[in-house]
Amino acid sequence: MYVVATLMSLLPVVLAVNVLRISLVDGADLRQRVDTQSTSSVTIAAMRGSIHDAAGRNLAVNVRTWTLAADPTVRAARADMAAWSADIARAARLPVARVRQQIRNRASSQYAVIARDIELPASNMEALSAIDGVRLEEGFDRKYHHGTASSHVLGHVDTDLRGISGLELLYDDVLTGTPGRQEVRRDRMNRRSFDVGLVRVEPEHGESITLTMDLVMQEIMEQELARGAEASGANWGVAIAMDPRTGAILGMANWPTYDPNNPGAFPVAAQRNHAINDLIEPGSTFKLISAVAAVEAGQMSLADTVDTGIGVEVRSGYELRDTHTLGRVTFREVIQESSNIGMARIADQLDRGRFYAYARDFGFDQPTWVDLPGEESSRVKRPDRWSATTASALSRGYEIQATPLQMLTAYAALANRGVLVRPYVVAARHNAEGRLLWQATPEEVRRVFSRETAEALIPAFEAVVDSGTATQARLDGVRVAGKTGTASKYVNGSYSQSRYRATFAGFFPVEDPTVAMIVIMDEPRSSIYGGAVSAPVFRNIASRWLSAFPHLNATPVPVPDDAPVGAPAARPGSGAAPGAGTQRGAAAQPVLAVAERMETAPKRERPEALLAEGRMPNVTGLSAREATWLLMSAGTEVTLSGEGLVREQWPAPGAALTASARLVLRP
Amino acid sequence: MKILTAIQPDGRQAADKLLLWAVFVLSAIGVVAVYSAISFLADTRADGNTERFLVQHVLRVVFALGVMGFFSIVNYHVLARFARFFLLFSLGLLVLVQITGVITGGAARWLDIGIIGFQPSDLAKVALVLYVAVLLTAKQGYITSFTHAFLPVFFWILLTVGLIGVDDLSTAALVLLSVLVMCFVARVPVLHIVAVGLVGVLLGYALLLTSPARAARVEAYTGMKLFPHTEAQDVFSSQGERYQVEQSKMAVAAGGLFGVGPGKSTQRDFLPAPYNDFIFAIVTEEYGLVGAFVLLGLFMLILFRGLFRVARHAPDPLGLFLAVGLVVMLTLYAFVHVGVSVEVFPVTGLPLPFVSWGGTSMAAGGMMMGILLNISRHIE
Repeated sequence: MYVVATLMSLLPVVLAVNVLRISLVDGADLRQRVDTQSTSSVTIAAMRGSIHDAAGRNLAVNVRTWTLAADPTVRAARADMAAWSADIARAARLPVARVRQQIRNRASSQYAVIARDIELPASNMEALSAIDGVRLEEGFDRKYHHGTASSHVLGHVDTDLRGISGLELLYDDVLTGTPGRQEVRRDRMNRRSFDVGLVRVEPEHGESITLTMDLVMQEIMEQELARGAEASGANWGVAIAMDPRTGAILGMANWPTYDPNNPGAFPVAAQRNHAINDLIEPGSTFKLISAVAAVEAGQMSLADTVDTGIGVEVRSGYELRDTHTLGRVTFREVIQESSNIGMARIADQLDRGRFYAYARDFGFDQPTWVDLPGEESSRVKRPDRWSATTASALSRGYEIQATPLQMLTAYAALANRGVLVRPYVVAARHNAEGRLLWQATPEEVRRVFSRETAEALIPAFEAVVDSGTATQARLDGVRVAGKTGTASKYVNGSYSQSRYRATFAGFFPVEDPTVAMIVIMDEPRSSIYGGAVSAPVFRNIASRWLSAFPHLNATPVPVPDDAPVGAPAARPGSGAAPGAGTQRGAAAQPVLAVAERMETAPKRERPEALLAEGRMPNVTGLSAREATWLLMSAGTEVTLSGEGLVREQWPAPGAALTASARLVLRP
Repeated sequence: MKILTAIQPDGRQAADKLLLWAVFVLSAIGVVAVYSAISFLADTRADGNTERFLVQHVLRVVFALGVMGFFSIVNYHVLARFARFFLLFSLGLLVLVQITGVITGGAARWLDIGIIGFQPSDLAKVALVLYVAVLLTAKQGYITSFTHAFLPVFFWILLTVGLIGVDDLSTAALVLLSVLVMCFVARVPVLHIVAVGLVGVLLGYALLLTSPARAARVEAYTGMKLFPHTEAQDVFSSQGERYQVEQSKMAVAAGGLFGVGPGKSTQRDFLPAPYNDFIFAIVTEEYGLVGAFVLLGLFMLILFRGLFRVARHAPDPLGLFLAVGLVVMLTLYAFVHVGVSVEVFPVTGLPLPFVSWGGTSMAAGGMMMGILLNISRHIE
């Protein structure tokens, strides 16, 4: 009995020792394995941020999509492949041949993507998911609601929704956000289950981006550029506009353009943003820099005369030509008539270092640092590497390479009376909850030349439009200044006699410029001249902008930089960039939304004017956001009901403003 | 409990309270542990309805305690009179199982009698202990005789063990060991016991040769390639035969000192049959070393209390032999179950008495404990 008891009690002792050994000696390692095998984590996708125009319209958004995939190894498929694929084709409304082809060409044996991004009625979706072996996978896709509009600025994304060009690329990190993660329990059949107390990291959805550009302005620009480019038979055309005071880009259009929803359907050349990706010899538009240098150096005034001879001059072995003989003309006329010989004569007298210094101060030795990816850096030769011809070549825009945007900033500097500003396209960034994270502040790069020089030169550039080479850029009732350029292209080692780039760069209104714009056409065929090809495009864009957005000509009301927030006329509709009051460019844009609506109701009194008089404006037809901003800017509390557009309002239009207003919305 | 101890149709005193308490505590632990461990099964078989299994388990516990109560008030001498009948009946069932067994877990161990699956080996082992105790008592006068004592006793032992062992080698081994201990206590010559033990080992080896699955488990346990008919790759990989023991050790280690807490086991999702074959590992994971030692302690209590309080003071040799056999078998079950979890024994599907999920095994436990308690009523 005692033998039995002893032997039997040995057993639990052995067991206890083993339990202790496992728990204490091998414990750490085994516990680690428990954690590894029992948890796994599921990624919670972060939504890619959207991109809005200045008025808050969605330019790029994420949409939910369905991918149709099938496993052709399921029993139903093996039994009768023909019937099975026919079922799928019928439910998916696809040709049977295509379904079969996709199944045949699948990459892995049990998974064939039949179609991506399918859009079907619910009944078809149900029918599809009822078919054995069919998988409908949910995903996100990027949609650019306005197609080609501002495509070169927006850029596009790849199939994994990672930006590969434009803002999508530059701001990819902030747009992408950070995916979250949910730790889940898994069991030996690899089934996952959620459990309380497991780590959950919420995804950080991507930030949304608000542009400085307004969709309507952009579309006008693109239409006019396309029209002009097609009419002139150009290879490509580019138009860029910016607010010369702030640097906010107002429009950036390329022709040919492409649809970022389906970039593969367009040639790569169409996806090129010539505004920043192309280095070109600017030609005569560069005479601005020569003129600034000459005036600042004190060697020329506009009234001084230059002898341009008979319009042909041979210098250091090459021939310099004017379009027509001018004889002895004033400096002003040299600009006005774009005399190459006259400019070269002036440049002859310029100190090389000084000339170079001005080019450099205009920023021609670096990029503009606009917030778009892939910007080329402009190039200008250092004076110690200049040849005998460089000074005269440079004076009329050769032997220098600059992007179209770079040229535009130079004209913006003239419009801004000598102060160069950095161009930018992103006005603000908001997080997924709509909180403002970052806001662009206009950045003055430097004062390149004095206000006096600017005031002295502007009349010459105005004369270019009034009576010089760019009369086609003239606008009714708005003073425009600018300069044409007709640059011979450097092809195969020599300057071509048949291929040119036609440019017009200018700004308006001259008194207090709100827009500086450049239009370039590559190899136009109808005419080679900037004044004939590009200036009309400039005019068409400008006149349509001015009629749609009258504030662009709101000359006598300069808004000082430190204007108190809430100047009523400028505030409504700035929902996309609330509090953009420090920024004059943005301050000008909010009315755009209102103005756009006014196109459809042209007879309505301008709401800002009524507000200024302390009377209730007619806000019917506006969106809730626009109406609310408009009224709140006048200090009126707004009560909304319904959704859609404003259909009824109290107080009635024209009545005295009260402390509160009620709006009824209907779709 | 009052009822169980107070009603004394026979016997001198109330049943042993410590043993009774041990069973109650074990059952209580079992209810909680099984409730947690069953969740994986519940997910796969009953859409996560764990409560259904809880209710089922509690009903089984109640049934087992009822069985225990019944046998604790039936005089074991009365049982002894029917011992031969019980054994023959259960042997008949074992044969029947071989013919019409419901195949579960790779072995034909179950007899489906309508509502519940019934495992005849559970009945047979109790019947064998009972009958061997009767035989040993009857043959005490000539216990050393080969023909008169050895042959009749070991005929029944080997017959029963052999029938059990066809499908359930580990149970057969445990039963054999238990009755051999009884024989030892009953002064059967050691030579005879060793001989039978050897026969048992040979029988076991023969059975291993017939079943690659079983052989693989033994190989996995010993870490040696012993049999020609197994695949080394399956035997020694942590996804193959080593999987269960690895997972079990992980569960034991995961518990630490105080465990991860009731119902928070993660290993239940990885251990096969955690509610049955690895309930000790689950208890250790959820309640830590504390839980493990409480379980071991309770079975040690049953062992010592059973041997030194009940068996030693049994009023007659029948009580003594019976008590020893029952106590040894019960605790051996428990220790082998624990031993499997901590890699002392090769992996085998033995339940932990009173704790594991499993109706017949729990009822058999209740029966054994009931008989033991009845003997405890008669101790001097």
